[in-house]
Amino acid sequence: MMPFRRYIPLLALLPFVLVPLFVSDTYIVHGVLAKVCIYVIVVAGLDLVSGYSGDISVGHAGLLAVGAYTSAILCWKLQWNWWGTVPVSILFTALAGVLLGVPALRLAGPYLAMTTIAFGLIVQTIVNESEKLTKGSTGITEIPRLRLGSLSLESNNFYYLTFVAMVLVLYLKRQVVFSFWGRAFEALKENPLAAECSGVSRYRFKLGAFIISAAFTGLAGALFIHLNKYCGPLSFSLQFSIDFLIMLILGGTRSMFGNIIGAFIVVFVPDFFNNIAEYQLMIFGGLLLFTLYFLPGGIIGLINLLARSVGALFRRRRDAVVTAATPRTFPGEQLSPVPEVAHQDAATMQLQAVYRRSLPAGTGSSGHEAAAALLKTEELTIAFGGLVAVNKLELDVRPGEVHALIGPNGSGKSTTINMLSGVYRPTGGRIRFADLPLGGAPHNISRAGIARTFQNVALFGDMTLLDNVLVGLHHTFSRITLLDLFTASPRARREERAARARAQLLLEFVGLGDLANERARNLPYGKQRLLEIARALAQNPALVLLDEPAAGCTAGEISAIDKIIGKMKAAGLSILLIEHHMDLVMNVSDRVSVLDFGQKIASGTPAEIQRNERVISAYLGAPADELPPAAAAAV
Amino acid sequence: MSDLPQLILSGVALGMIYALLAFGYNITFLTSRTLNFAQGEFLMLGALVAFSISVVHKHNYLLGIGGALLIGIVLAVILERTAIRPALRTKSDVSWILATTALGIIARNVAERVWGTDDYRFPSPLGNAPLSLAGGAVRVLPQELLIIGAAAVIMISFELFRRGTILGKAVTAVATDKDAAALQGINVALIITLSFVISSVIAAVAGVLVGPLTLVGAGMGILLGVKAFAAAIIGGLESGLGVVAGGLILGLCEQFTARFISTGYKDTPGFVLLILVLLLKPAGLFGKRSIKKV
Repeated sequence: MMPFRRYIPLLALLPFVLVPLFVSDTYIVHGVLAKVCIYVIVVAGLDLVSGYSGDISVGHAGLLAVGAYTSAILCWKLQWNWWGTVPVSILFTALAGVLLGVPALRLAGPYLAMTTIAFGLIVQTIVNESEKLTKGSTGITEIPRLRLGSLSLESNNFYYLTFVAMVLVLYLKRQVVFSFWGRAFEALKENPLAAECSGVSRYRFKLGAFIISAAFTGLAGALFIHLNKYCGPLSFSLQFSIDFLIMLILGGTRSMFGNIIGAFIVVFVPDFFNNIAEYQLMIFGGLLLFTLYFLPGGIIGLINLLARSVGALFRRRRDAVVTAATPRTFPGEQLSPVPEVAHQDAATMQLQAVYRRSLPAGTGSSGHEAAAALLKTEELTIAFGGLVAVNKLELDVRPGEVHALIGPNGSGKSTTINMLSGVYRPTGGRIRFADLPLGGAPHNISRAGIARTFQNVALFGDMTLLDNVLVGLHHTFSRITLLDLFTASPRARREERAARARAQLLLEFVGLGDLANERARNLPYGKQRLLEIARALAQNPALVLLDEPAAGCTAGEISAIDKIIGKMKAAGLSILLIEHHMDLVMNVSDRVSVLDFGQKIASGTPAEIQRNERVISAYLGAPADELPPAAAAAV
Repeated sequence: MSDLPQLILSGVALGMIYALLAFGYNITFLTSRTLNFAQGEFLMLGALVAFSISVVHKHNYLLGIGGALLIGIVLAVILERTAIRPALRTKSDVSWILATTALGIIARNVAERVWGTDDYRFPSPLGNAPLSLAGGAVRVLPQELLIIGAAAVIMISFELFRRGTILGKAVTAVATDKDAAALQGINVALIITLSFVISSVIAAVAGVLVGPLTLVGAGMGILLGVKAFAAAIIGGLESGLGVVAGGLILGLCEQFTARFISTGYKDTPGFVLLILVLLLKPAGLFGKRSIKKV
């Protein structure tokens, strides 16, 4: 029974398939409703890119043109049956989606918006100029009649076809967004760097969003040519791309009903109020402005808000504040409630329960040499312009050790962690991890077994605590394909269930178990730091880089972090710790390395470091003539 | 190839129009990290207002320019209040991109209602007889020379304003560091408004300048605005000199494509160049790469 709950919203759409039985006016059914269905498909695709991934696309009319022209040209030039052209349209448009998406890998905001505009205009120009293939500005009118067997799909019957296509697309979209894909989209939107450092490949999921979005739009394009039995370049103007954005924002992003409401209003209003057609752009421009600043969730957001307020009036046992604060639930949650975990205090819980890493091949087992250093840097150097921030750093972290990296502000500690986690590319030297050269994008380094936290907390603020940790567990879904998601395969559901249970355990471990459904941005600062540690542990690391985990924390929170570090160590994890709280450093560390002006000036046990003269002078200062030569040179 | 000098001159004139619009993008982007996606529509309204005053009502050409200046100021204030200021509070790129786009389509619709959807001829104040330069080897429209001269004057005067006056230095200060500027007693909101006023006025005047070369009408702005944005990114959105260079490169590219390849494809090279630049050197040809702090 439970698995069906997630499909209730889709089932709610089904009665609308019967509309032609009650309304026979071809103009309404074929001219308006079928058009709405086709636009909903495009808007649903645009929602993946602009709503979930946060990349504005002003080029979707260009994608629609690719789909429409592919189908029209195959029908006209090669006399293909239209049904045969549909997969080709989808494929070609998906390929065009790669072109549209590649800039999104590196660009954001106005730069990306501009490239998508350029994409749409280039498509329009090519269509206009390829006279032989597209008939240029005249357009293709040789669109065949649609049949399915002996059944004609013309006139009002066309609506049934578009309706089925729309429901199919909305179903597929739900399957994608309510899965680890959806979490990856949102994580990349909220904090791309943190998402990548948590093991989410920007490359795969940004492009993936564009490709899926384009595939949907390709299907819409193949249908689009039957609206007027015409395919011409003027249909695919820049304004049309903007119209799709208006539909998306007006209806409300990240919502199936929002997509439908938006498309319906933009199609329906000008068609039914003929006298306003001349003021259409003013009205939609005004509506867009109004929505942006007064209805951030769009019309569907307003409806949800009203529904919640009304619901709260009738429900006494849960007060309205809690209801309003409860984030949207993933259907998976309803489908697979997290098993009741007996509430455990962080102090009594052991990490072994959730930590399942076999150390990378080559460590531990392959003899004393390998065990001597899990992580080793050789002459690691980075220069920003003329400033050498880290200079020929030799650092090694042994398996199972807590290694602290300390030094005055600006000595290059965080820069070192940024190099180790792939955020910065070193200008010289080598990093070896588990006896293999380490390098590449942050998500590769996360997969290799190095997780990190951030000095300036980098969480996904609008996502729940549970979802934040689930982003860290992204790697557990590596065997789940899109096909698994589309078909809701048992394997996909099993993995999701397992990941949720494990994420809950990790939250329990850091003492945040009962806040699992709270949004991360609502947490106090110290608890945000604990959540970052939970997310790092979710990545199954062999080495955790903690960048000032206790900064800004209260004494109680610091002692919690102290205990957590102890337990991480007990579980066999290695830790590289940057910290300014010296009592914490001296308490948990096995060894300490000290940086000053990008160079390592000392290394040893906490007790040795506390007595080291160079360390003392680096921290407290010393008269210039008493400085050791190297430090004097660096000054 | 005998028409080469002429081609270059036309390209530079067109490029100067892009450069003016791009210069406007640069000013507001530096002060507020936002820019006006309706810049092309502002150009269009400037051109149409001047057209109404100078051509329809046969008033002095300078009065037409005055009208364009005025409409530029009015539009800038509306834009800054309704689209930019609320978006700066939400700190989201999506809001200001969509909000300024929304204002753009409203502006276009208003223009369609007032002036209709037709295009009109806007005669140059200097006449349409081509001048012969260099002993008849180069024939050039006087309006093209006017564009080049006027654009240079506008951009140089802004640079002088920025370097030589206390208000201009405040603009530089806000562009460098908003918080530090605010701590020095600079009214940051006012400077941002000022930068939008300057940007919009430049766009409106660019409309008056380009009108005689194209036709004027409600649809004239959208593509010019988009291409000028491409030019700004090609040169480097954050570099004043870069956006001007970007404009010139784009203008020349288009003239050469139209002459040697096909007029139908004349809009394409700019966009292809844009995508290449963004993939190879995202900060633009003349922009400096900034290091992201983590």
